[in-house]
Amino acid sequence: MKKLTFVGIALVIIFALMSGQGFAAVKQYKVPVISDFTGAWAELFKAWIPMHKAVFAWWNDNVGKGLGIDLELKHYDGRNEPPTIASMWPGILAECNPVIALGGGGADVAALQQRLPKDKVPTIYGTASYGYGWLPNQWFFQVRPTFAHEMIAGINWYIQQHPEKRPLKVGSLNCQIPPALDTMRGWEKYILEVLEPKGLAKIVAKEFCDVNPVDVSSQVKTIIDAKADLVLGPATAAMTSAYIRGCQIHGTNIPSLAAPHHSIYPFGRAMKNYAPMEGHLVVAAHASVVPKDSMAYKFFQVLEAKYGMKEDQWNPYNMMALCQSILAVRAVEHAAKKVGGGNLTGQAIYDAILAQPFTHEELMGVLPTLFFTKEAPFSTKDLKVMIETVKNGKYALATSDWIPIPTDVKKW
Amino acid sequence: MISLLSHIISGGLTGLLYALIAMGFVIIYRSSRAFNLAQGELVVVGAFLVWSFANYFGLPIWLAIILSFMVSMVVGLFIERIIFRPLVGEELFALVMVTIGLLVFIRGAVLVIWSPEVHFFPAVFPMTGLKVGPFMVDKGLAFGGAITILVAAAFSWFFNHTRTGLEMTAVAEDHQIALSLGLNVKRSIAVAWAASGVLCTLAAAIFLSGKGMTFMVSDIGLAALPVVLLAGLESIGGLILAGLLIGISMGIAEFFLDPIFEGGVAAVFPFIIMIIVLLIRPSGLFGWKTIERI
Amino acid sequence: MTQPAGVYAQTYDEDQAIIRTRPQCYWFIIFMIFLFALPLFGGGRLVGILNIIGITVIAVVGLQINAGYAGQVNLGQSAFMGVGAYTAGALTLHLHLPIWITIPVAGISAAVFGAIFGLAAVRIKGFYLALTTIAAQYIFSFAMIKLPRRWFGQTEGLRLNPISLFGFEFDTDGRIYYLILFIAVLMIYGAWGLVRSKTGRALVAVRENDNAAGIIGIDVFYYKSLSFFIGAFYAGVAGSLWGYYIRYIHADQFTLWLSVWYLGMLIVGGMGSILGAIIGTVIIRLLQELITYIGPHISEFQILSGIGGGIVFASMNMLLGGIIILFVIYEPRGLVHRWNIVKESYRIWPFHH
Repeated sequence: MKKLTFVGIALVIIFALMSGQGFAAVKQYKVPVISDFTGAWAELFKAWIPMHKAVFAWWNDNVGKGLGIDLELKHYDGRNEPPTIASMWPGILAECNPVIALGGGGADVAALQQRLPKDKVPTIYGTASYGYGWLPNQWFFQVRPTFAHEMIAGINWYIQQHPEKRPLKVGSLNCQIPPALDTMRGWEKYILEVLEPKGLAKIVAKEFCDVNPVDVSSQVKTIIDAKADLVLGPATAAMTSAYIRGCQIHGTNIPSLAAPHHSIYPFGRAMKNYAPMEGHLVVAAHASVVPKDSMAYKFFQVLEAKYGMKEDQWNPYNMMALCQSILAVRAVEHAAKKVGGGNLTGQAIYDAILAQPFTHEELMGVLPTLFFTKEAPFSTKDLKVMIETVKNGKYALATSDWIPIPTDVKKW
Repeated sequence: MISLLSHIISGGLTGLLYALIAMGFVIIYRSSRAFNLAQGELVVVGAFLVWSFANYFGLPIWLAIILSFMVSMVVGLFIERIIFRPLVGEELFALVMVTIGLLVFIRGAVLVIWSPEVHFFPAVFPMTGLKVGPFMVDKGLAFGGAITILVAAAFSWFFNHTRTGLEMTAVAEDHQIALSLGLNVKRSIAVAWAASGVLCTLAAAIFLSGKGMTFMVSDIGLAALPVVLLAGLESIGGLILAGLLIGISMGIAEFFLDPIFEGGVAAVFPFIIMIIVLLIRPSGLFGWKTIERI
Repeated sequence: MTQPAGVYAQTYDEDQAIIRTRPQCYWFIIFMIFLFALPLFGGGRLVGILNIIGITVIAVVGLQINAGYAGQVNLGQSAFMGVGAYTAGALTLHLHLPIWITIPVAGISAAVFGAIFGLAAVRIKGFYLALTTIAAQYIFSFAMIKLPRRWFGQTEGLRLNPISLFGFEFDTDGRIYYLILFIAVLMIYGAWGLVRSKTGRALVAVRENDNAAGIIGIDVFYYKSLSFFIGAFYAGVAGSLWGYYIRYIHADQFTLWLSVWYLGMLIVGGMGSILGAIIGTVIIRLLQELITYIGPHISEFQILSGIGGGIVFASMNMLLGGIIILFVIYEPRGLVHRWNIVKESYRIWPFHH
């Protein structure tokens, strides 16, 4: 009798302790990551995965514990092929029962776009968007506006920096893959409709080459003959190195404008030398990796100290993963604050993303404040970019300010 | 006008590069009747071998290339011994399928050993331009083109005027008859694979000299296919002509049609030319015609 | 091939029959019921896998008729699927035609595209033909990106809403499974009938020796084009179902590698037999699914030990390639051959031969 009472009291105490606030049960949510280990984006994913893990681990420790949430990442090899991803998706749904997912880009958007609203899984992407993804009422969310938006901001900035070159003669080097063509249409429309009537810019050369070009010296010659001041593109790392080769052959160096993971950084990393790209520009709607005193870098140092990141992992590739994962965890946080950590659903996260902006501080200085609406899968208000270049053989900022994206960019 | 000619010249040089890769295809087909769809992957292997010798072991580039030749020869022999020897006499589809399996396998192996990052391929040729009249040409490609023509001439002479070469030609016509004549079929096939491995490495050195490279370089194997078919699956000398034809027409198409179609013509044009020519001459320009008599 | 003891044919119809004994009939009916009931207890993942297998089976059976029975190597099957998908998508999106019209029309449009390459087959033979069909892939991708946006969406592709038939909306995996199953059964039945008919015999004759076939009066030109026509028709139907299932159609989904895999399924299953096409498809797809399934689990383990997920997935590729190579070396006539041997030895047991 005494023993029973003792056991009973012990059980009651344990039960009371466990149901107290500090001992709330931690609910685990699996977050699928549709990666690419063996296809065209394998190199990017190799860089992204440690960053995802670090950010999620940091959030689990610092925020998730308080909300009673533990987020676990699960990677799936989609090989960047829509059929593979489409056939994997039902399995992913069954296995993870996800409330949020991380994606790669083009191929999985294609495969899953139509299914996400019904399956109710908001998916976050770390690359810039494409024009054909600019649709209302989507369940996938991009951390950046389209590549064209970013390029347009870069063009505008360059025009302002060089008032002696009016109209600015713009050339381009593109290839025929849909994302590149789409970006080209975007800035082409903007230049033709907005900049040219004001006498600010003019397209003088539109050149094309293969995705993995052998030699672009003839295209470069045409661009030189047209006396272009700025070249838009190249759309892949291979095109960048062919373009630089072409410039070297002709003994010129016309600056190019591209996205950070296509130009300067991959070239510099492969060649171990940035000097051939002196004066070229890259633009992206996220923080630059150059300044060592920014909020973003301080956050990275936290990750370096406790979560296994290394110094050489602070680069434009990993920045994309950082943007993607920080937005994802903050989205979960917003939703959890509304409905409670144990009751998260895809719908709740979707609503939370649309309900409240994500501030610059919340996003650890990595992205400008994001305002998501139903109009587009990316933030449409207050868009800004940062522009980087190569100065004196070193990767540097072209300007330390955030440059605004013009608000008159229309859908193409 | 100058722009058009410049496109034609660089197109022609690109076509010669394709011809070099196509030579690898043709040599294998000539002896073992197998069409090696994994040729692109062998180019990647050759490229990574050169890179590894030059970077990891810090050897001077010419030594790296020679060592890579030797290793790729061994790789070619290895593939032939393990995979193709058991399949002698099997039907066409089986051979094609096994090369596809090989392709998937090699791609995985390359990723495991060398990881998917972009690497810098050391400069084999000086990275400056060569001024020919009003045209600036990539020195590397120009040298490459010259090397291709020399190699093609050498192989052509080899196959038609030396004893070993003639034996291999006989084996290519019919394995059974060659065997009954006492020729060493196995050795011929082995030599072909070894030679093909070396050619792939050479092509890699020319194509990638001074550029960044990843495992995606294997796509060039497919781009070289129209050259193979146009020349005919058994002709080596014909590859030069076919390569130039395809390359030049690519250059012209790029110049005139790319602005209209916004790019992409260069990839599809060689195939269209190939189909048209095949309809007129079904064995390609210089392939052996199978005369079917009733 | 021997029949079970006591079974023999007395009329032509009996000789041509597929099901000859009572037990065969019962097993077949049970199998059909099993297939229909699968979604009810199978779970989402299984239904998804079966949907893709169903669509692929239709395309591969078509390829079997084209490549296995008529001997015309065809590496463009995926492009033909794409033509079917785009046609069905465009018809549904722009003209709002019901699916019992769009699916056959998609099949026919793909068949016409395929027949054009069939015409080339009359002049071009062997490897040359195989590689000419590769050109079909490139031409298809190029054309679909450049044709007007109003028709085929260019770089955007086509987006579809769930289709419905007489008010029954196919908006879940389970529902579209029935549509796919029904069409697959119909097409396979048609294929089986085709290869037993005069056309089937003519195709086999053309495969064996087209000169001899020409001599005995078979119109080689007609039958070669017909084989491409039929093969592409199947691909077109499969493509339209693909479009309705994924609900997003884009030229990048129909790659050369897909065509190559289809041919691989034929090799693994066995050329020259409809059953072989089905077996090959199921085996290879299950293998791919297995790799997709266990990949993340192994990579979790590896990432923890610091080696990196990339190596795991790349090794999976090596494994897949290696399996195919081994298959081709040790079982070049496909699994169907092995199955027939097993069936034979079962039937004449306890004798050895």
